[in-house]
Amino acid sequence: MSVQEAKSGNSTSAVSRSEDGVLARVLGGSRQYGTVFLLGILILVFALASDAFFTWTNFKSILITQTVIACVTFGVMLPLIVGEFDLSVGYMVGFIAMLGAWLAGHGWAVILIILVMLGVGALIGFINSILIDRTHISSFIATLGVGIILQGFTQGLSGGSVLTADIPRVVIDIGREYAGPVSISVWITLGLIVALFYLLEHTPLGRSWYAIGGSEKVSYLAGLRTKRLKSAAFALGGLLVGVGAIFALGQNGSASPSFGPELLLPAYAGAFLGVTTYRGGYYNVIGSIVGILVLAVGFNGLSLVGVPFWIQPVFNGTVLLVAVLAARAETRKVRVGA
Amino acid sequence: MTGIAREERGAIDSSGAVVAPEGPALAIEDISKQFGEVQALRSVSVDFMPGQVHGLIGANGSGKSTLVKVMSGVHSPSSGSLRFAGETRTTLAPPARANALGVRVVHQEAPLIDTLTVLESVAIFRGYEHDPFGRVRWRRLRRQTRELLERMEVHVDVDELCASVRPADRAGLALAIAMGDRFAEGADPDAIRLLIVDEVTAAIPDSETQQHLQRLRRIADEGVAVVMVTHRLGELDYADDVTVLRNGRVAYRQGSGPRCSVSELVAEMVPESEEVITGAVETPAKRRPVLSLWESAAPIEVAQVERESGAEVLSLERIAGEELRDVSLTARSGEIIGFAGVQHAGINELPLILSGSIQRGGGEIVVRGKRMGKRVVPAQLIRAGMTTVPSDRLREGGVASLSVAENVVLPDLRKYWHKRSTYRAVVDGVIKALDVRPPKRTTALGELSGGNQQKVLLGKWLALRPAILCLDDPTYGVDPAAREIIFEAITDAAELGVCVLFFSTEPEQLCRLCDRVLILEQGKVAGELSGDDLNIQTLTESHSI
Repeated sequence: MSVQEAKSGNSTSAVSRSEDGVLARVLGGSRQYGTVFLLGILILVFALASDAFFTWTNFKSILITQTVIACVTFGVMLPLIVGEFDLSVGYMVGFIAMLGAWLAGHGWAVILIILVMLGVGALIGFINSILIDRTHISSFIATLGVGIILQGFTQGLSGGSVLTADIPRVVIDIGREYAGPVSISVWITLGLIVALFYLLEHTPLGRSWYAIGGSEKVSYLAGLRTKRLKSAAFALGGLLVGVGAIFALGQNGSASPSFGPELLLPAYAGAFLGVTTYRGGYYNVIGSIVGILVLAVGFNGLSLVGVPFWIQPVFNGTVLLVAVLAARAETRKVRVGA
Repeated sequence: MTGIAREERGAIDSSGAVVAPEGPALAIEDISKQFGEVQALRSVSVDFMPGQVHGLIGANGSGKSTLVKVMSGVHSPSSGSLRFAGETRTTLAPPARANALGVRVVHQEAPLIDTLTVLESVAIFRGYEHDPFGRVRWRRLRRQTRELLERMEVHVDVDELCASVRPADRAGLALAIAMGDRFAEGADPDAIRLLIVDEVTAAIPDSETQQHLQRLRRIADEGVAVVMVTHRLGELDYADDVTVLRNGRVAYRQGSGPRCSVSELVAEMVPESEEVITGAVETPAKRRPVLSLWESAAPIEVAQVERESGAEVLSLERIAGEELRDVSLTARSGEIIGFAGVQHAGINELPLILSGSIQRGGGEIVVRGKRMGKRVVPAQLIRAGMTTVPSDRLREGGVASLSVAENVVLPDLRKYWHKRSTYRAVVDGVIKALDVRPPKRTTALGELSGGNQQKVLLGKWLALRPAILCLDDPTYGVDPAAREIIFEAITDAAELGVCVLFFSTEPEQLCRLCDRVLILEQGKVAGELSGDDLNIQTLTESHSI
């Protein structure tokens, strides 16, 4: 018995049943839907506190501003699923938006601009994965390095100023135009959510990504081509960041050299919040979307209620910590194989 | 080697530097220790004399570790007494007290931090001396550490990083840290009376063990009683006295008389025959777990599979690696081939090579007529029919955070896409055939007991109907009930034509399951046992030397 414990000590202690946290029970009984519950409470509270909150116009604006964040969140979530960090996404979205604006300024056709923006995103993701797997630099450092380089290129392309000239009509329409009740970018994001959900939950590719995140070594020994699969996750993540950059370029109608880096932390907050929802203990699409909405509704509601500006980051940080603590029993399990 | 050791000691003796005090440093008198139902030690009495190296040997579960823990103050004996330095006590516990009395224990794994220098690693244990301003007295520390290492004959640079210190020197450093209170500058020569070294040489390559054993010899020559727990009987050449434990009893004591031969020692170590037999009682109704598993996915014709058995499925030609030098082998379907050997004989490396976890240094692997490339990834081996259940269950075997079902289908994900019913049938087949408990598809692998984890991982590969199943120490940390099921599955798989390669450190298991057992020694096949030659006695003998 003691031998057994000694050898599997890591695992047994890590998965030993910890009692359900008090916070978990406070946050809606079922741990899996604590964040959804929180979203409901927030909507209710803000609807009572502010007349402007519970209106269709307000909801539309919340949704449209979250499309870019959603894409960047997917861009960090896919590497997280295979067990790696991608810290370059903030700089990446800024760089790709700037690249699009620069190409537009140089008279490129709109279809080419869109393809280049998507392709460059995938390429940067791919480069990140190559750096991590071939040179064995930790993903933290490799992607941070790539991100800083990208920031330099962004500055270079911009020449120090905001590029506004000749942004194609199509790109602006994707960002701003409405089709039915919500804007085109919201529809596209919804489509991405459905596609990603299917890919992650119901295809061999998605299942192998989760297996790699659980244990890369085991997956490799089970015959998975782990390096290729990880590259695919990074490249798809980069491609989705490219989609986010198109949305951003369209919504802003311009590309600013300072845009991008500030999206990194909200994206990670969304992905981490997502772990607490839907499939407890795993990074997942539905959970991430709920996480993003919680933060967005909180942000929007608090500004409508008129709290001082500094309350908002405090709120966001608190939500993240409380939600993760509440779901701790679940998140602990996820760490076992990592 | 014996000659050299004895001569050196003689030189010290004749110089008159050390005069051993009278009486044992530690006398164990009629000690028993009980853990619940289990009697770990039964009236054990041993004397450990100052100036002597005392070899303590015994099979797994013989009570060696319990005795060491009683001596080091980890456990209190249930009855009996300990006479330490002339004073009779009922216990040495807690460990801090045993330590204060002058007992030191050195374990297999040296307590070194790879990212620190030797100097810093020693100072962590010996303490940092600082001046009134809190600055560490580096120069003095460096000098003292150098002197200590010199005295212990550990030849490493104190500024070297621990990560780059060779295994034998790591063991030497562990000794220096443990013995510092006696061998450091100005230390009390009575500070340490008893040193216990617990299978330290297991982590050292054969070529470097002598240096370490000579260090132990010199420590004993300074008047310390040294207890050497070991699996390698060859090392007993350095011991003055030998005690063999079996089933918690002293089975053999050399005392001051002449020592019996190595094969007689082995005979003393082997558990009584009736105990072995009771462990291997045939189950009345023979279960066919693998057959039922294979039938659960799609009906197969047993007759056809069984007819194929005897065909050559695996051929290894002069496999070499870090430890392996030259291993060749031809394996046929339906065979169970065992592998035995001491650590660093290659017994740990071969399964890693066969699973694709590490690359081989040379030689050819041919699986079912298919020659594997110079660099081979697991995917290629698996496709050819070669599967491996590794010894490190959670790091290499299964994904702890994934469910039982997801672990089972991991090697063959594509087959199950949009085939929900096949998926369920196979996973349920594994659960039922191997009696996985709880019988649920959705339990996370990490939440299962060791035995049930192993059943799932075995089922994961068996579900692929492999040609070859390589098992690396498959019963480590597995409870007896699960072990029986795993053995049943292994036997059944072989009957269905799977070629099983079975790596184990337990002679009983090898004898019971295998058709033949290859003995690895220094990276080569040193011998093969089969038929009547394959018994616990012969295996234990070849295993321990």
